[in-house]
Amino acid sequence: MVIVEREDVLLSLMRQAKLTGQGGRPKDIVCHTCLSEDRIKEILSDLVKTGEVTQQEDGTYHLSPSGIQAAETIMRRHHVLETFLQEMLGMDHEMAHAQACTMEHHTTDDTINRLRRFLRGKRECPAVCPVNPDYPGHQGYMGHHGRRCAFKSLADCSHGDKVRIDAIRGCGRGGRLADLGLIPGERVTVKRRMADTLLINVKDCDIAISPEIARSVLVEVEN
Amino acid sequence: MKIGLIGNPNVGKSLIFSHLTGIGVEISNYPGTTVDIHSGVACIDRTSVEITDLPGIYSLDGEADEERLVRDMILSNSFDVIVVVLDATHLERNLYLLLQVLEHHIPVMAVLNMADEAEKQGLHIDIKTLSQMTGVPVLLTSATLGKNIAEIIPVAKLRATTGTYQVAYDRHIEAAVRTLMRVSANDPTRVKALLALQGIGTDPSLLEAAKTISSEMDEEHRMPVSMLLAGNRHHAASEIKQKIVTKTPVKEMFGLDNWLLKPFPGIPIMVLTLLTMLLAVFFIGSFFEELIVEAFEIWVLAPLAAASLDPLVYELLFSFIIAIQAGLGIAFPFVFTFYLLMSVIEDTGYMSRIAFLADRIMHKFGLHGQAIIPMVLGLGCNVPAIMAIRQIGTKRERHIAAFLITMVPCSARTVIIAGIVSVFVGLYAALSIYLVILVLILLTGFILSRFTPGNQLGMVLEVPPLRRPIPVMVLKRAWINIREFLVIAMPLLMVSSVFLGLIGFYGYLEIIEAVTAPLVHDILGLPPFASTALLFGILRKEMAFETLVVLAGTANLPEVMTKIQLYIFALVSTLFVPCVSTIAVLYREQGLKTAALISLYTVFLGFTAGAVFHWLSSHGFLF
Repeated sequence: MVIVEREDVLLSLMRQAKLTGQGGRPKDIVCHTCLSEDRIKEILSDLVKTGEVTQQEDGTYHLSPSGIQAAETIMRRHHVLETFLQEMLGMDHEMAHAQACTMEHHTTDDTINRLRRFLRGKRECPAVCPVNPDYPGHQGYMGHHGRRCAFKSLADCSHGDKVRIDAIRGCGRGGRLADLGLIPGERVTVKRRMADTLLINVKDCDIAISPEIARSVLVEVEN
Repeated sequence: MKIGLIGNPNVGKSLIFSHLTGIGVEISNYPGTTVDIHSGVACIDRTSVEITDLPGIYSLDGEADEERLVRDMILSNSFDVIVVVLDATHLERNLYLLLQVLEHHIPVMAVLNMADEAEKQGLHIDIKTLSQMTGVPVLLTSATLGKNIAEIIPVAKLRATTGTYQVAYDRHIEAAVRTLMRVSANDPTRVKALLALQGIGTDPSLLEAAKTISSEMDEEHRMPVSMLLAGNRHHAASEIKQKIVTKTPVKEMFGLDNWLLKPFPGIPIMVLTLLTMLLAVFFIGSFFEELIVEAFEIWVLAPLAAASLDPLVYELLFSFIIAIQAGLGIAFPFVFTFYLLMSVIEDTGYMSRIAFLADRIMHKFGLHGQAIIPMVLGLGCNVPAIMAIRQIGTKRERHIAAFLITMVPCSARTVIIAGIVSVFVGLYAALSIYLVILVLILLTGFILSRFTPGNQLGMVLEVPPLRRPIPVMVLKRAWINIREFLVIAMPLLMVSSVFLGLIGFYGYLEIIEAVTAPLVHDILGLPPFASTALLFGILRKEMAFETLVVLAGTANLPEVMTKIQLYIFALVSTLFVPCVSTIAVLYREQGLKTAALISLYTVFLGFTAGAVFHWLSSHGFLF
């Protein structure tokens, strides 16, 4: 909890500095966080001890250079997480922001770097259907910027898996699949797997699908 | 008044249709397709009602032949009332189609069939609420028990109305529809605008406008418009279902599927089922064939021979009657028995399980599981089997399937193998011919899948629950298949039989024999008269056998040919060139090029296989 509170205080000081160009008082910080004024004072004095914050004579607190650096790291984490949640998982902005606010404190730098690489790398992924590269006009159905490549397809699922459809790469039989109820968001149970052919249950109906079609259905395992 | 029955496949629609119309059903072909439409007339309150059974479809927006046909018929207002038949046990998926039909703003009524099944599964369906929500009358029926079937036409007549329910689409789509309806010159209806967004329609200006909008929406949602629409509809269907269906848990029954769909014992069961079926056809068939052939000999051919007619007239009549005799002798005993048993298997829903089990193997030939169905049908007669290819996927798949099916030994070829090889050489030798053919089919498929251009799409096939077969439906299915045999194969049979008779009459046979004999003798090691018999086999497969007997001058063939010669003769005549009827259907379904290619390939294959066996035997490797 201490880390969360410390980082929140650092962030709100930075925000305050950006807004007004001046340092913040405990009172201002209360507005940004949900902490009590006493608790904030406690944390601030702790931060002064570790050298991330300096206290001025007029009672305002300022970020020291090391404090600015720490706050910026947190801001970066927040930004990466929010982008990931919003663009990759399709969450709306407010939800993504709120989630990123809590996640930012516990995510290691390594995770953040990997996520950043993922976001950047996948953006360069060729968004062409692997099965049918000439099929016109369906680049990009792999989700935003074709980054869905990293997801699991129905063909990777095994007997008894319960999955949720994430996206369907729009080549070939996309239409027929949609008519049978295989649409993004739909829950599917893999009833049987015989070699690579799958028998799945969608909307209480059993459907046999060939491996090449299963590969075009991207899913998330729910179990 | 005209009523159209529409619904998903496997909802018991055809059975309802049979109940409503009884006998006197007319089957017509929709121009440009091989999709069958069944129509019949029912008499209710002294007025006749024309009922049409449309092919089973999952959606009205698709591009498959059936879907396009049903959509066109609905758009052209071919019916006064549409009766949507829904499967009460799979209501959610079935409601999807109902919602689509409601969009068309025509009088509709909904029939929830399989009420008894639903009850068994503990499903309670509130049809009153469904009726209120959709605005159309709803009837709960059970076609297998005949429950409420008699109500369908009166309700359709008196109460069917255009529905009030409208699927709430994504706001972008709603906006697009509004724009299209406002902007376009011909005042398109809502449904026309929706179809135009998916690139369906006839109005070029509307399509042009819709294309611009839909590509924008594509970009924005990262999803084709059709998928967006499908998603919205499924969502609506699921909401309706939640309001009207309550499920009380019932004890799960033991599923036979646990066995049928596992590699073991599923695959042995499949092989056993098919083998048993073939053997049954063989025994039942040969029994009846003898009866029919004998009857012809006694009642028709003997009096004809005694009538002392002009030789030419006699030859013509004789060939004609022989053709009918052979046709009936093959058609009813073998082909019909086969299709009868086949229909039982299809009607239980086992066929789609076979497709599932066979999918992997078929992929090795560039096909998919669904293609096993026409291949198995080919064991009866190649003609209906080639017609059935239409249902499977892409051009590439149809091309490969056509090749393989023409190699599948049909009933007539079974007659040759059974009549020559198993009688004079031995049962194992007869089975070995099947094995050789199977290996050649596998090899051909394997090679074709490497060299045929095009994409492989794979199958998406619903596997319906296992059901007890219903006699009416079994007969109907069997009839549809045998009808193709009677309509296409039989007339050609007669023409070619008469043609052959004339050739023989004017003495051209000797010339042909003189030309082909060296080839047949040197390569295959067969006596000269065998070449004529082989040629006859092109016109009618089983005729190769009959001609051989006639030309040999004895029914006891081992007197004039060695065992290996008989074996090679049977093998070659089974493999090479499909019969005239098959070539005709190939030409019609697949085009001249494919038909010619397949014929040439099979000639090559037949002679090569024969030559290889001849070489082996002359070098002392066989027998």
